[in-house]
Amino acid sequence: MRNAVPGGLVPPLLALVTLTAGVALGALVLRALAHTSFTIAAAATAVVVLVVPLAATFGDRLYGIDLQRRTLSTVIEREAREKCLADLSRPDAEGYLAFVRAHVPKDATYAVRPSDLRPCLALNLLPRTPVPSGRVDAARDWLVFDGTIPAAYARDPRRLRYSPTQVLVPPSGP
Amino acid sequence: MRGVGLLAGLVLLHVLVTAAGAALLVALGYLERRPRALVLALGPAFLAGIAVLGPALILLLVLGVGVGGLALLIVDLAVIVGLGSIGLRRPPRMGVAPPSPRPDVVLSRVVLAAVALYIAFGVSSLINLPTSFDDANIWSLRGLGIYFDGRLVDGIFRNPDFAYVHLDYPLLQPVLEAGFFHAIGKIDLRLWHAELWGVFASAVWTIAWLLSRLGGSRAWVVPVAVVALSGTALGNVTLGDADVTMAVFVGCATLALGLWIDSGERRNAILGGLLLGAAINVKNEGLVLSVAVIVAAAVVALRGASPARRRDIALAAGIAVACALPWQLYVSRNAAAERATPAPWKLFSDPGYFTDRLSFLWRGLGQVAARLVEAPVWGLLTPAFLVVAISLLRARARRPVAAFYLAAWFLAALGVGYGYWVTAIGDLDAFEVRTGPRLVLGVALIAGAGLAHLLQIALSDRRAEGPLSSDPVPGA
Repeated sequence: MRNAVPGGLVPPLLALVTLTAGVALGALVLRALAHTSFTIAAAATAVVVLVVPLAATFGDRLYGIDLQRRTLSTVIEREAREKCLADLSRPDAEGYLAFVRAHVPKDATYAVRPSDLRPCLALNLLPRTPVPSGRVDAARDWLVFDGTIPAAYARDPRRLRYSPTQVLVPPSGP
Repeated sequence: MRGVGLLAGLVLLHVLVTAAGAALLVALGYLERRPRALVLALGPAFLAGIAVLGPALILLLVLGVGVGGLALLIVDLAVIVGLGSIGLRRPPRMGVAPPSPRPDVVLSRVVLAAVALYIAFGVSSLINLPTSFDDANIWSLRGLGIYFDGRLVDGIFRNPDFAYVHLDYPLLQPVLEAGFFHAIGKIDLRLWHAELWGVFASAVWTIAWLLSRLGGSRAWVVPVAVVALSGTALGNVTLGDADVTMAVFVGCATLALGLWIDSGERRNAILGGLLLGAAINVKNEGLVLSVAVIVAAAVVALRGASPARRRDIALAAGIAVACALPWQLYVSRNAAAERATPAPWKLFSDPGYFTDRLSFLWRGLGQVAARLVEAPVWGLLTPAFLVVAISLLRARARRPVAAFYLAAWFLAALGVGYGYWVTAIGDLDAFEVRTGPRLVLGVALIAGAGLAHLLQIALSDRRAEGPLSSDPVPGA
């Protein structure tokens, strides 16, 4: 029964209808005053109701651009690209990212586990190529651990430790 | 020295893309081969260049052909030579436009100068921006993937670990981004926003260019300015999202098809089809909106239409489908590309899915209505569009074009509502906050382009007043 009542629709639709009726009423008044057709009156009314607020707010719009220029447009490229870490509440991972970049060659393949940062790390580690979880080959791929580290890798002598939960394991193959 | 290289690369990229688009416009007979005409068409040529190069490059990627800087150059030159040779054999078809009244010319120059100032100043706020969440996880990740590998590597494009960042989303914007980085010779995600702003600006230019060719009233500049100065457009480009890019292609395509309905010129249908194809290749919402626009055009234009009209609309739809097909086929064979918005035919077997979620539909349609009347964003654009379009329905000669814009707008709004209706996203409150303003961009652009054209008609042409026997003029 709840679905039958379009409660989310009625108020905004009423607003749209009311504003449309208001423009139409303006056109009717203009038509009467200017002795013209309704089509021309409607077009003229449309121009007026659009151009007046546009002109009135033009300065504000330029100010908005200037505000954005002064507040947002201040980052260097590395910060811009790493912002996704902060968006995921993981600004702490920035240091680990630099650590991974320093050790994993640019032409290498790697797998990240079990992190929820995979796309963000992938963006920041390119041109290093990520490998889908199901196709990881420990002999070929670097393993980038971020979170719980399996016991086998926690004791791996080849591991490169950044923090207790952030460990890098080189490929076992030649 | 580095700055000089970057600037040279940017110039080269824009010259190449614009040349491809100009070749298309020449082939379609839009462009006189005079310097002034070419300069006035730079914006439309750039947009058309993206529309014609994008699908070709996506096809190569889907086929597994590497798309690096050299491939970009070869495809571009092939398009320029191919379309240019067609264009050189055909004389341009320029109609004689009625002159514009002097006050209109002054008004339009003032408004267009203000728009140009806003857009130029906007660049200064878009050249050093951080990369936002969706941009990082969806768009730029793929753009950089294509930039580095030149192909659709499984680790990014078929990786189940990345399924939640929408691997079904189309590739035109990432392809353009990869080309941008090839041109500037490095990765600079901060600068990329300015390029997206350039695409938006070229679309505004395209609408103005198409309508200025009609002569007569230039009142169309007002809705064009409303669209150009919308804070939503700037905000979306700031975020690096693809909604504005998709919406402007839909808006320009709707206008091209409106011009086709009004004039019957096939080139407008072809341009409309190409631009719709581009919209589909930018975002999946572009597919929904393109279906809305093409269905509206077909229904309106085919009522008692000649065989030539039927061929034209079939051609436009065919071009859009051909542009969209490579990526859609790739996605259909990509198990990691899950669709968050299922197609209607996939839900027919479960009608309860629709009936149980009717409140989602009402809420979605309500959101569309609410966002379209947000005064600081769109002003009275939609109410004005509805009033002018409905008034023109009464003029027999212009009824088809008015009906087309109304139908396209209505079907597009329904399309957005459908997205809400069937979305797999459970938290609709967060969905609305995050995506509400940008979901209506395409619908607003249809209203903006439609109103611009309808104002030109209403204030230029006595035919617009037509047989208004039911509309007596007081005092006449």
